[in-house]
Amino acid sequence: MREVDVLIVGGGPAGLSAAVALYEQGVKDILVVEREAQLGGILKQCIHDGFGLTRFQQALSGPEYAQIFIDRVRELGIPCLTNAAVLEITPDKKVTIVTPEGLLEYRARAILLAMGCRERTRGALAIPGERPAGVFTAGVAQSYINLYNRMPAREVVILGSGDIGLIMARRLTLEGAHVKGVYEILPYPSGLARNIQQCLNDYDIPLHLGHTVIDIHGDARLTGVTVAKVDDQRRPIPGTEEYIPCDTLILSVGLIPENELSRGAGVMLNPRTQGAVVDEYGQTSAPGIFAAGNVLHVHDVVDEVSAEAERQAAAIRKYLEQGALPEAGVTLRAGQGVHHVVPQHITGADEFLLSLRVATPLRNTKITVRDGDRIVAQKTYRRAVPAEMIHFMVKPGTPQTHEWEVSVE
Amino acid sequence: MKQVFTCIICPNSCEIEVSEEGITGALCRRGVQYVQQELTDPRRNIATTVAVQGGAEPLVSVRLTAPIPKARIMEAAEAIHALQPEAPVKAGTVLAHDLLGLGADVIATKSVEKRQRISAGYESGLASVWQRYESTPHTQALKTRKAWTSSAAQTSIVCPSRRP
Repeated sequence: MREVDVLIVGGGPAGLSAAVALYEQGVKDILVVEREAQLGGILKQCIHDGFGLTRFQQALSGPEYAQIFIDRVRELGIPCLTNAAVLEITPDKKVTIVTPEGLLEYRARAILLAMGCRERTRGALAIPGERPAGVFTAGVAQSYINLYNRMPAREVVILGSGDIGLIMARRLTLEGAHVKGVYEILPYPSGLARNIQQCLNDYDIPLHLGHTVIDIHGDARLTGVTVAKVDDQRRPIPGTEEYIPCDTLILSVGLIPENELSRGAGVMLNPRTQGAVVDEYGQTSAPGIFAAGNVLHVHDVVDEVSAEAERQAAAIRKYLEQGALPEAGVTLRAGQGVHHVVPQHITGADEFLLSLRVATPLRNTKITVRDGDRIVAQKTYRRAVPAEMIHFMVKPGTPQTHEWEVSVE
Repeated sequence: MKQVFTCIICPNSCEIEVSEEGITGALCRRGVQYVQQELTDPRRNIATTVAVQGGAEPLVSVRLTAPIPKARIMEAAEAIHALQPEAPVKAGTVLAHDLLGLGADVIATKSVEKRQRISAGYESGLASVWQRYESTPHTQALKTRKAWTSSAAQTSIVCPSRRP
């Protein structure tokens, strides 16, 4: 069994940002483990621009953003294992990795989970109908077109208005496909407003809110879908069905943090974020195991993933130096109107960054952090939507209770 | 007369209102500039891919160095798709100067190495495996299936190559 100070699971933006930050802060005994042949994670297939606006004040493409970190990792000589999949992480931080050369076993003093997320599929939606070819998740269609030079579609219907679906509506149009429409079951879009504008409106692609696909038709290949309006309980309204001929259905219906390894390591998960329960240091319920990026909670932009990974890197360095981090005895709860909060536990001693999503779209709203009767922090927003993550720094003051609540009014 | 714009400059996605009283609702100066541009000469950047001849990967991703008029996007996309750079391509390389005279260059946003020929035997072996697959009754059946001759005729079950 080999030993390493920090083992980072995943060579995407979170893993790479953390590796660079750790190394620059003097933690040099690091290993990045990536299951694909190349570093960069999902950014490899995100060829559109808009990455790095906050961090580099430039609209870079995904591959360019990733390359900045890959170059830095190479320059510093940080070891990265590619084509290497982590099979298991134990609560006492033993890691089993499979590589083309065989199995490797490591014992790490600290682990950073940076596995990212994956897409929800048709199975998760339970759409009835046939099982023809031609039903793809947006990310799969994206990799076909952007990486493998395959054109999976001609006449397209998109279900769900997540950001990748919107990006793919534009991408498919540029490649000569005809996108007939985007159907979203919710009464509001799931993706960022800027993507509705630049990916749909710019190309005259209609967005149908409060609609969903209720049937899939086709034998070997998809021949069409039936869509229908839904009521406020998201149930299809009889009589509103419409048949739309198409050869491809693209699904953009949400992302799920990929936490199978975390579960095996005894890490507690939060049912709302579907990521690990963490404290303000990004430390999970398993001491010495940290999480950052989309495996922790799904972010809107990569710049924030990098920033989060860097904060976690600073905490990991502190953990290595001190052997343990201060106990986070205060619980943060998502209250009225708040879908989830990260972190879920805090020490109450230091200033921390609070991230949250609201449950429904709101205008002129106040977000309040309460410790019993004491208002710890309050922020006013002209517009708050579930598609946009909200974050702000919170100064905890002197805690009165151990159960704080974040709510919207 | 009031018009509402969604700013696309950054993820804030500001809702910006334009009326006789002026431009309101932008969180920063870039939002005001965006709306002014949008009212007079709307422009967008585009990102796509180009087939690489002899590359270790089939495609290189590209983008424009500056936004171009919105109305010329499809024309620009076609012009970009017609490019045929040869491997190796380095990220940042200009693949076309001043595309269609629009004042923007096409640059590669990733690097693609030259394809390494493993051996002639390997390649002919691969070709014969492909041929065997093509001639199996299963593949033949898929190709001749009735469903394929109707509306989905041109979209095969195996996604066709997008560009040569």
